[in-house]
Amino acid sequence: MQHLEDCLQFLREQTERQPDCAPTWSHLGLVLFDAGRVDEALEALDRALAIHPYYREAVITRCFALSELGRSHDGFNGFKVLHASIPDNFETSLALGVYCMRHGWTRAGLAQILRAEMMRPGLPFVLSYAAAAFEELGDDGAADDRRRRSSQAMKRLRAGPRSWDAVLKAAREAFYGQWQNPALARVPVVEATVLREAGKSGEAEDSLLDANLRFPGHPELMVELGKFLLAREHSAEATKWFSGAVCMDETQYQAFYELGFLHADNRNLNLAAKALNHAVALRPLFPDYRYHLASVLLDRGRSNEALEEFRRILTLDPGDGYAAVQLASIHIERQEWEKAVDLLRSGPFESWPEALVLQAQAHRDLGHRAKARVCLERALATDETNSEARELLSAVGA
Amino acid sequence: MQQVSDYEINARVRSVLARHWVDTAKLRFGSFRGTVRLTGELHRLGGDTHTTAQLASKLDCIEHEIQRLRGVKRVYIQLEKWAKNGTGDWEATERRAAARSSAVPDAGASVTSSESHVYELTARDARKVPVEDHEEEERIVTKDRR
Repeated sequence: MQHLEDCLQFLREQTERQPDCAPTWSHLGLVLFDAGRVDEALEALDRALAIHPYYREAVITRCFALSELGRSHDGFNGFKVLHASIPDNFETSLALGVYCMRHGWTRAGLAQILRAEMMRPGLPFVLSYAAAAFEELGDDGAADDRRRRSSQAMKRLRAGPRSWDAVLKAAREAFYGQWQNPALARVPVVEATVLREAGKSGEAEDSLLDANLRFPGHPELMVELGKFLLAREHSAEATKWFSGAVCMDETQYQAFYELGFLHADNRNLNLAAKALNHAVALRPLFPDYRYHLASVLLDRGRSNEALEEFRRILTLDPGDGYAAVQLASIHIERQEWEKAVDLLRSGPFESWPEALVLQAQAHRDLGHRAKARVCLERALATDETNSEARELLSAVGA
Repeated sequence: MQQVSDYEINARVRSVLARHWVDTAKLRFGSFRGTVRLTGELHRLGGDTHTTAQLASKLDCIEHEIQRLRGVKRVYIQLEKWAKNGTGDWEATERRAAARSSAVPDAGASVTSSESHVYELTARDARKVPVEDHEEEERIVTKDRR
């Protein structure tokens, strides 16, 4: 790792700022492990696990670290705890498979890697692990099949190099066949964050691009690169990488979410709605995902569907002001003024100027001018520059 | 002037926040007829080396950039631990600690998506639950915090 000391300093500062943050301790452990500083890595990982005993990345890296110290069975037992708590977890199955392969437990290793493959079929980096496992077991046919499928999957990407074959070959030799900890794919992300914070966004982006070449078809890395490109306003490239991520792995909800906005920027609202629909389907309890989906539906004139989404948000959280205001506005458009008033008159958002203006509108339409004035005066007390409140107050009259 | 839809404004606000590496897992944003609102907590993605003064300056930048977006009439920002002082500058407060002990929820505070903050749940919650389950539970626990 090029910027090791910078990364370690950054992470140590983060652990001082947030000593109860398991992910930060885990990242510190991961970077130390990658640097070969196993004892220090174990200390950091143990701190992470003291906060969150099942923090997967920390458990997995700890298992590999124990293996480095010649404690392979202790490492294996570490996996058992994680595997017992969530038997069908993709990352755990893959890491356990790699761990078993590393220690020559080839049949068990292949079985776990194939389980991971079943959970996320077609993912090139999993196929690469499977190919390496089959090769060790002497099944060249199955190994070639995985390599071919991995190559075909990469060809669908519009991002990255024109030909991924050489990249895949290099990755197999340097990483997949070495049975290294799959969580190490996280290390370039940490490095990129450090570079970004140091004002070296260009180098950070390059670091993530390299990471995507070292771990081809790794959807989380593609998402991270997409985020960097987005931050640097390279929207077209960001769209390619986010699209690539969801092409590789349909569970990448963050990528779908970002694509919702990127497509909207290009005025392609049908694609925006489609992407956000996917994001909501993957994360149905995230109110902000639903909110943005509903907003794009409203923009497309699909107000019935938008209304349903806003209602669902309020079922999840009756205090969601963003949804309440939009839903009240739809009610007012449909002349359902009482519904709008009921929605807006209580809740943590009831003093929002925009909510008060809407409530005033509903009262005015119901002929309750005095109530309308009260709402507008409250809105202006919060924000005297609110022009909608002022205009409506003039219209309602003294 | 051609009306800019709420969703278009939201997409542009998202771009502003992305440029500044704001973690939108903890910060909610939305717009309604040109009124943009931000609520929640201000954090930067992947960790933060900024001092409070630098974050205040960043918040100011974000506010001004959003105000300059086409179609935006006004911006309301209600973030935990941040408030404007008498001179209109952003400064860090201790409202977060006070708000948690208060019976009245923060005005406008909303549940946000959670992608990486499962450790917060664990710090509060004695149950030992594997990581995936936390993502959904974080929503409900975050709600209870208000």
